[in-house]
Amino acid sequence: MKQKRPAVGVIGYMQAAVSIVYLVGIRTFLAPCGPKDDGSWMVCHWAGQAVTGLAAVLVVLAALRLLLPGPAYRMGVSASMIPVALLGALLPGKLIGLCMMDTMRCHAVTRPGAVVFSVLLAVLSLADLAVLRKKVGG
Amino acid sequence: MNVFQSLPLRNVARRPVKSLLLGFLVALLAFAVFGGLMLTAGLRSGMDSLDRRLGADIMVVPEEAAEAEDLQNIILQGSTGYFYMDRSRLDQVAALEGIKEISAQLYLASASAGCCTAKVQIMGFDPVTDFTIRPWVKDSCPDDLGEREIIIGSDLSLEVGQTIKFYDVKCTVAGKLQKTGTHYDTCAFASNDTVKEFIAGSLGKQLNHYAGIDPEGVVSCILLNVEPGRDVKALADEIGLRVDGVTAIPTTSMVSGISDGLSGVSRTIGGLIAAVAVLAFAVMALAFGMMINERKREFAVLRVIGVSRKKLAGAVWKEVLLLCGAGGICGVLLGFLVIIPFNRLIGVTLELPFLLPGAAGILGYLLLALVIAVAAGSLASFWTVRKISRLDAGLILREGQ
Repeated sequence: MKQKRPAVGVIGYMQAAVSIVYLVGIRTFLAPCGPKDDGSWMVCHWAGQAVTGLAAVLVVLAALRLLLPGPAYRMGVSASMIPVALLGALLPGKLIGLCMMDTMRCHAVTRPGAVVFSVLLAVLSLADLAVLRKKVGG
Repeated sequence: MNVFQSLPLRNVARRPVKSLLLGFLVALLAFAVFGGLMLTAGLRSGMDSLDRRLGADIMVVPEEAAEAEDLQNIILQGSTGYFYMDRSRLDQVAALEGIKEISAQLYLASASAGCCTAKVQIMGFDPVTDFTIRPWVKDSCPDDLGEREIIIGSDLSLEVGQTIKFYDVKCTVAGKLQKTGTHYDTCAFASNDTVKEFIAGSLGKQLNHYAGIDPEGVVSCILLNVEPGRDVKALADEIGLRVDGVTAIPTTSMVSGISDGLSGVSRTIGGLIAAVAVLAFAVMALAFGMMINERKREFAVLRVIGVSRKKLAGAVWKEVLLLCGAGGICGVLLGFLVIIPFNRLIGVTLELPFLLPGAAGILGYLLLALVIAVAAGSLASFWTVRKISRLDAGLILREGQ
C-alpha cells in the first residue's frame, strides 16, 4: 500500500514564496546601483551578483524542502537554510563593499532588502525546525 | 488545562480564515500607527537636528544667490551651487558691533569620488574660526586641519584615517560628523589650502568649474552668532544696509519656514492614521458583531450547561484579546521591518531632514502602537461582549425550532 506523504505545512510554502521574492527582488526592485556613465560597474554590482547567487541557492533549498518526503529530511534542509540566509544579510556592505554614499540605492534599498529577506527566511527556518522537531520526536 | 480555559484558543484555531481576517485588520491598524508615529518622530528629530546643526544666528550670502536659489534647498538638499562674493565682505560684516563669532564657508560644486557615481558636495571652511561644523565631529579631531585632510558627513562610508580622491587629490579623513539628517551628511569639508589643491586638480582635469577663483579672495557664505542681548533681526537688517551686495538671513526664519512645511507633513500623516484607525475600528466592530451573531446558539448552549454570564463574556474577551494581540504584534513587527531598515530610503524620498529616534524611543513607539491596536480591537468588540453577557439562552435555542 502506498504510504501517505506527510503534509508540507504552511511554513514550507512561506519559505518557498519568500525565497522566490528574494531572488526576483534582488534582480529588480532591490537591485543595486546601475552602471557608471562610462559603462563600468561600481563595487555594489558585485555584491548584488553574489546575493543573486545566494538567493538562487535558497530557492533550490526551499524547493527541496517542499519535495522531500520525511520530516527529518525537511529538518536538514531548513537547518541548512539558516546559515545561507544569514550570509545573505552579511554579503552587501559587510563582506562585499557598497558605494561610498549611504544615500545611494545600494545602501538605501539593496542592503536593507537583503537583510529583511534573509532575517525572514532565517526566522521561518527556525520556526520550521521547531515544528518538525515535534513530528520527528513524536 | 481546563477545556473552558482553552476554549478561546480553540475557537481562534477552529476558524482560521475569520481569525486571520480579524488579525489582519488589527495588524493593519498597528502597522499604520507605528509607521505614522515613527515618521512623525523622525521628521521632528530631523528638524531639531537641523535647528541645532545650523549653529549660526545669521547666514550672509551674495544677493544674487539669495535671489537665484531657494535657500531652504541649500540647507535641506545641498543644492548649493557655487556662488561667491569678495572676501572683503567678511571683514565688513565682522566690523559691525554685536557679533560673538563669525566664520566663512566656500562652496565648491559637487565632485565625483571616483569609486562610484556619488557626488560629494565639497565645502571649504576655516578650521580656526569655524563654529558650525566642528561641534558635530564625533571623534577627536585635530584643531587645525592639515594639508589634504578633510572632515566628512556621516553618510559617506569612510572612517577616520581612510583616504579618498577628489580631482585626483588624495585626501585623508581626519574627522566624521554625527548624523544630522541634513545635506551636511553627504558633504566633505576641507580647509582653504586643500580647496586650492582641488581647484588646481579640477583645472588639471580640464574641469574648469573654478577657473579664476582664488579661495583666499572669495567666500560663499558668512555664518555668524550674535552676542547675548543683541537682536538678531536688527543685526541682519543692519548688515543688509551697511554691506553692499549681500543678503543677511536670520536662520530662525528659515528653520521656522521648513518647520511649517514639516508640520503640514506631520498633520497629513496624522490624518491618514486617523482615517485608517476609524476604518479599521468600524470594520472590526462589524466583524465582531457578525461573529457573535453567527455563534449565538453556541453561547446559548454554554449558558444552558451552566457557564455563568461572567465566564462566557470573559472567554469571548480572551478570544478578542488573543486575536488583537497576535495581529498587533505582527503589525508592529512588520512596521519595524519596513521603517527601520529602509529609513535611508524614506529620508531620501521625503527630501526632508529625517532622523530615527533612539532605541528607547523606537521601543516606546512599538509598545504604544501595540497598546493602541489592542485597545481599539477590544473597544470595537465591547458592545458585542456586552450583548453576549445579556443574551437569553432559552429564547435563542427556541428560535431554531
